[in-house]
Amino acid sequence: MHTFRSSLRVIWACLKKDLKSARSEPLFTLVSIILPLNVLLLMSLLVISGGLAPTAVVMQDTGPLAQQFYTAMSQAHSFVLQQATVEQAEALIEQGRIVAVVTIPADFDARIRQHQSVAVGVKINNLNTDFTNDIRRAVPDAITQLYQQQGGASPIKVALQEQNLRSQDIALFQYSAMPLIVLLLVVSGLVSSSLAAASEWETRTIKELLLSPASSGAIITGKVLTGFVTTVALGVLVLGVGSLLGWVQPQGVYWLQVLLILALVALFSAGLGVALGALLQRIQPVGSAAIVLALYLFFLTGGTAVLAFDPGWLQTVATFVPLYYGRHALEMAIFYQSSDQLPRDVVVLAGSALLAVGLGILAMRRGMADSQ
Amino acid sequence: MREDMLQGALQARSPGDPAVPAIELRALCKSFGTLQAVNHLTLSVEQGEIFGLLGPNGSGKTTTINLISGLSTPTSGEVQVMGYEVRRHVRRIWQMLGAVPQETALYEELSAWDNLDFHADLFGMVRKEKKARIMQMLELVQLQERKRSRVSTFSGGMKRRLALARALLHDPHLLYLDEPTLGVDVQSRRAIWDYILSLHKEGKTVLITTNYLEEAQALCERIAILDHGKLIAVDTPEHLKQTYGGSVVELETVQPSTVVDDIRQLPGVKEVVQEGTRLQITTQAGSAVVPQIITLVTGQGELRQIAVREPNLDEIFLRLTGTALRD
Repeated sequence: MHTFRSSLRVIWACLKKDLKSARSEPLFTLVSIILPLNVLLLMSLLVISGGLAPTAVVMQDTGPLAQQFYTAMSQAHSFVLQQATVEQAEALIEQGRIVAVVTIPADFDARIRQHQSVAVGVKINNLNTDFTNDIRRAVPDAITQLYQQQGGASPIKVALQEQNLRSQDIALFQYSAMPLIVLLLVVSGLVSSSLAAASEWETRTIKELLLSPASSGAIITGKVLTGFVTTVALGVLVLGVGSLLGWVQPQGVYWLQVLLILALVALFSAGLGVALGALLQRIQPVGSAAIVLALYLFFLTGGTAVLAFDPGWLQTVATFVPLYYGRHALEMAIFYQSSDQLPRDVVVLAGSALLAVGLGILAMRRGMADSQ
Repeated sequence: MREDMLQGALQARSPGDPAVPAIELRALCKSFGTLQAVNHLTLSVEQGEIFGLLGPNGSGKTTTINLISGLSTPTSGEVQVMGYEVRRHVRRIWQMLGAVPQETALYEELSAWDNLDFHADLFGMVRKEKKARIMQMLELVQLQERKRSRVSTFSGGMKRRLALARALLHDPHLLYLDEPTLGVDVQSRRAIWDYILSLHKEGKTVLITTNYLEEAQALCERIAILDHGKLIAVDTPEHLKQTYGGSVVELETVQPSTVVDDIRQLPGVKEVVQEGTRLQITTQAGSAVVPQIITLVTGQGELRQIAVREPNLDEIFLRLTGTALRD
């Protein structure tokens, strides 16, 4: 009982000391936040710049059908529309400020009513295929939508019957931001615990630990807990902010699922971090290696893309990376309020976390023995 | 009856028992591959003694210290600290040992107080006594006003003093100081020496490794000189001087070369070194041979200057190991 209490005191002392050290030297803690934030920023820029094509619409006809067509275009989720005169539209496309000019001719309504063909003019600034193809797909889509709104009167008899697999649509930005929480957890866990371990060798304070009667098990547990506590705290903070901003909004009991997965990923990263720190024993290489390792683990599980649409070999590799299961369980809880395959995800993550902690203990013990 | 015997045995091993040596090394050997770092070292340090371990780099000092502190396992031989066999009772020994390593090894990003607080927790100090003891140690090393300052803002001397306070915090029986004043300014050096001497008054055993012979002479009651892992000599500084030193006669004359050979022939003269018009003569016979030297020199020319002094530890060290300590 006495030994147990002594060990708890040592664990608490190590945790307290390492957290104070991290607070005094916040550079690497900042790195763990800055890295995922940068990816998020980069992604936001890509979404903002690459998502919707700025397009000018010249409304030479303002009849109800022309208006309906304009509305169909605006609901196509492909354009940022602005109405313009012929001259204004010409100037904008010449200046390279828009992707396309769509001209709705003066006789648009009349010709449709007379069941005559009508040409909608599209002038494309074919700067790159991404935007060009968006225009080429979205304008015909708007035409189809226009005819679908006419119901039985529509001369087009082929109609789209959409069935959604998921209960709600998820915005691309929101979908891509979620894996960044996993990246944040991994970077934070790896960086904080690896630095807590490596710094003992770099500053030679390992001798202070070795010459104390405290058990090495308690000291190592303190190191793992440092990474774990830092990571969980950071994860909860980011989830809180994400929830306030509406990016991540798990409902009811699914919050528990999110917190459980967050804790398991944090434990996995912290264990791995201690192992890395004890192996390299130097702050500079450990900091760099932790970030590189975190990025590899992140991208091997698909990064911000959809893994199921990635090449087969990457999908196979991902099944061996524990973060894949973490990401899956978080996606289910955050976006779809689902516990689909949760037992599998939890078992794999818990097993991996225990394995990583075991690896950390082994590496730390070996490092300490070599220092004697 | 058995209980009495057990009680007696425990009492005999009690750290407070002055009959038990603080450190006892018996035929201690440590090899790293083909390198014999410590070679059949037999040595005893009494309780309450300030003992110096001297030797050039690679002489086996650090390995010996690691063996004593249980950080390393001997290839053969035995190490006992306060009557406890190190291999069997290493945690008990760590509880009794305070160490000030050469590199200081403090948590520089933490405050002086936090460093001591962490150490106190590692050593399982009673919570109620912890604060008072930390304050007492900070006062001892005169750092109480800087207790909340980050250690990285401290000078080398302040760091050394803090490391000393840390080592003393859990009230160890045996204190080990590795180069306690290395890289420290003269004032701090003096202060550290005073602390060490005050520990001696408290009856603590202090083991010092140092490259400063002046320091060893000022602090240590006995000195062991190691070279290539072997014990070359162990004695008080005074005895070492008498046994291995004799006296040194330094003189200046007009034509020293004409008398060098004659001086070398004198009984008790161990060595004669000529530098220009100056001669340095090491004698075994103390100052008894000085009149004969004067007679020889004045017979050949003018004796400008003569001085007789005791050899310093540097010279003894050089003589014993054939190398200067800083080599």
